[in-house]
Amino acid sequence: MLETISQALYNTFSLSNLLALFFGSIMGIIVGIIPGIGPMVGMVILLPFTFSLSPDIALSLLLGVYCGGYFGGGVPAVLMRTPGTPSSLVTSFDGYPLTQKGESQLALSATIVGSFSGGIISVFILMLMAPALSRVAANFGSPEYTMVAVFGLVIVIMVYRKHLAQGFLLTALGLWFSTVGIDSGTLVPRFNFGTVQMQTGLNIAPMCLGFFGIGQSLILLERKILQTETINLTRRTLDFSKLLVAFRYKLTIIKSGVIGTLTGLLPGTGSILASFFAYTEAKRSSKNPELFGTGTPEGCLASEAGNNAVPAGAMIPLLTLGIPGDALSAILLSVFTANAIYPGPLLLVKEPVLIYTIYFSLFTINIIAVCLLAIFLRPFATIVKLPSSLLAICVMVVSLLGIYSMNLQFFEVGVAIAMGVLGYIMLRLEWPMVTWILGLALGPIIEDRLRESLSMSSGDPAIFVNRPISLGIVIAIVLVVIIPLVLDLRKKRAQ
Amino acid sequence: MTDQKERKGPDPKSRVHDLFTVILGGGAAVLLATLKLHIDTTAVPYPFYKGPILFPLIVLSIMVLSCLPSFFRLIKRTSDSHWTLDGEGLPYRPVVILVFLISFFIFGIALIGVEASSFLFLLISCYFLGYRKLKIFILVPLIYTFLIVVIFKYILDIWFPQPWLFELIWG
Repeated sequence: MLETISQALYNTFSLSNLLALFFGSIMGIIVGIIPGIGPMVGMVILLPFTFSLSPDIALSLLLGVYCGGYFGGGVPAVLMRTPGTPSSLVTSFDGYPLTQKGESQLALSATIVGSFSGGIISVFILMLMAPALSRVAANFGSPEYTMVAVFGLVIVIMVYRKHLAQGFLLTALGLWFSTVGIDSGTLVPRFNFGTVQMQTGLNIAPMCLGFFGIGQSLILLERKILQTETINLTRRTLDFSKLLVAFRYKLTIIKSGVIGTLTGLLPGTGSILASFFAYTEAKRSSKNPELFGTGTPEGCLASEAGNNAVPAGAMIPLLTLGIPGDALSAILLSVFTANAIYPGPLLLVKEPVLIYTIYFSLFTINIIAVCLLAIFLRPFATIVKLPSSLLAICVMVVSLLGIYSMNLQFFEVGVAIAMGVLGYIMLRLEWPMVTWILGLALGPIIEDRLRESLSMSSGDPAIFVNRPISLGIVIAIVLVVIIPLVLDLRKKRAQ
Repeated sequence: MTDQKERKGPDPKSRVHDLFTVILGGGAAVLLATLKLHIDTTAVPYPFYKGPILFPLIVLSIMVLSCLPSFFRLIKRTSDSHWTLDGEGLPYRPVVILVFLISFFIFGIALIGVEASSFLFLLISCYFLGYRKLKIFILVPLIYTFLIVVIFKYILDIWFPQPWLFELIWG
């Protein structure tokens, strides 16, 4: 154990890993600060470059962007009432009123302290919960895995039930994309449409880059939302005396961190809900609930602690079950699988050094991000002044060249362009795109486990209800589908 | 504070949703009908449940089933439904220009090289986006192209094809 920890510490603080964490955090803060871009675009831009890196460094880089994005998102929310990431919207409820009162430093201190504390608390919970959940998952066979993966998909679809049919459609589309290429079980080519390039299947990186990177860039070009003239910052760096004020709300910090982690653990719930839940709970239990919405640092703290706890929370099902809880952890899953590492209950036994490196890297990212934002606050905040349309075309050029550099194939660039147009349409229609990427990431897992399960029962699908754990998950799936629909129906009738 | 433009969300009565749903579902239906053409199962000795066709069959069926409500809504005209996505409509011109430019950028890499192609793409994009100040119009494409070439060609050592046009002219 001690040897594992020391090796993981050595890996975490090696120069290359620190550089990856540092660069990832900077990139994350930048993409988080720019409204409309967000950590997803940052991660998909870097994804092609990570395939040549060792898994720990690749994961550190992407985790840096993931967590850094949430750190950065709060800055424009406080200064301009324009959330950098959707989840930072809640931060603007109290952050912007504080800025208007001339207390932008206090608001930013609360935002940064909240992000930092949420991040640290969630890593502790991850370290505690991952081994426990792994022990439970060790009893899982193929039928249970199939059902857990289906459960994850169903939860996400139901979260976006406003577009229920589209949710199912996009999930199935993602699952179908995962079947293109040579079938691993039988070596039969599927849906290659006579092309050699599609024999090996569609690579996840160009599809994600196109769907999210190019699609989002087209949206940015359409909505010129970023230009701003003034940024109300009183000094170049963060006022460190205000940090101590923010640390006074200890209970709010801890509660919000725990709420954020547990929300992140559930597939599809995401950071927006996490910050809303944390904010609502902080308001409910506050001595001065009437101050919420008028400019209280407690509101900024709660919201940011909630949303920044999500990355580590989402890592729990990813590491222990191999099931990504959101689109960003689906990207991380592709890094694992590209390096022939398959997350699941045995990962903690097989790759303990990697797991501990991830834990320590997550800690380090939070420290790096808080230092970077505190010291270089004004330069980072100034980024929001960049014109969106210029950023969008720059993102596109880097995305396309990044895809080409992966396999030196123009075909994949073509795939990315096609997916970009599709992604743009989906974004305009406000369809739940997260269901598509989860389908794409979970497709191979579900197909392989489904086949194994049916092989175990000689083709009898009753195996999914004959085993107690699997039956429990099936019941959970049914409840997850029925309960929200019934509640919605009741609400509709009441109205 | 900002010149932020408020944007309306998609209109639930818009038929554009249904149209795209049906297009995707229709594609799935075609694939489902021609499944045997896309997956050769003749030489596979496995039983059906172990074979390569089961999973695609399930997911394509889900796609087709999930588009059915939209299909019926689409064929059933109602007086208040319309084809507008939201208040802004679809920005055909910029999207068409951009997709054309992106395609040109990709072919341009093979045709005139990554340097010239990137520079031209950025320059023309800046023009279409309305940037006329020399500082942005020339300098941004120039600096960005320089950075891209340094990063991709020299730091990452990525191979780019010999420009076809240059080969044709200079041999």
